[in-house]
Amino acid sequence: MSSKNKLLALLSVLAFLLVLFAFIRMLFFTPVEQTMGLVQKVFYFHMSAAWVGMLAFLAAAVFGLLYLSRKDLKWDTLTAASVEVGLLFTVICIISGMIWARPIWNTWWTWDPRLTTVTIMAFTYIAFILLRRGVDNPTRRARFSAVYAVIGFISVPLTFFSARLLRTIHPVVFGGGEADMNLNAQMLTTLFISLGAFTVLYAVLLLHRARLMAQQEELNQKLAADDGSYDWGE
Amino acid sequence: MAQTLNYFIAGYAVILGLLGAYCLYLYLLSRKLKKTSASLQKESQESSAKGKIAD
Repeated sequence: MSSKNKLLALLSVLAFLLVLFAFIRMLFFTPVEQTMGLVQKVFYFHMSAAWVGMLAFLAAAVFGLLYLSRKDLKWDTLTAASVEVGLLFTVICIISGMIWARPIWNTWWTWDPRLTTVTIMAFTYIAFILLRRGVDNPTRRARFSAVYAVIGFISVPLTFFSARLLRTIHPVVFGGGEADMNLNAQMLTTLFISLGAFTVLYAVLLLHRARLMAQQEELNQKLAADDGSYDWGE
Repeated sequence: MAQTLNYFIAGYAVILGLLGAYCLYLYLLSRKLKKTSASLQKESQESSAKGKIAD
């Protein structure tokens, strides 16, 4: 096992332990909110998933810029991997939010500014993945992905500030003034632990996915050289 | 206090379920890539051995 793989394996174990710790802390050592009851606890992982989703899209835009300036395909691999992982966390955020909303807002979904902008953001990156698959030439695909990741990033601040600048029923945790959620110290500690755990988990998933994408590309080139093609079943 | 235990369970089932499913997808993809890589290597070794015999 190379030192890089060892480090990645260690980081994977650390991510698992951190998420487990955050889960146990949320379950047993964080008070139950008096009005909402137990469903409020979904918020700790819901917000962490939202944070990581936006962080992943920011990272994708940065990797895209790095590709455009250095023309190294490893940045393209990281852009695509970051978008895929970011989309996973955004979907988790949307579905867990819907489950929270059902007993609290008495509806699964409403076209509130925050929910609308997060949907636009998710579809922007779903389109990224679909369109990327349509380009065969690796250099052209990389250039397209880099430009798309940079332009698509506009949807992220739009989502982030929608709950702060527009009239919305979506709660704001920080910087919302009167609309703040008023979490106590124990709740805030659990929230920060969850945010940290999900950030490490994002890094681990990004590195694993990027490694697999690079291997996939290498094998595709070998197969193309042998005049064969392979369906990866994705 | 509202009785929202079912929604709490559903919320965490979705979160942990999707994360687990993605990890499983990565694991299966990694296994598939390893297999393909090994079979390609084997094929190229066999073809180079055949080439030597022909020479």
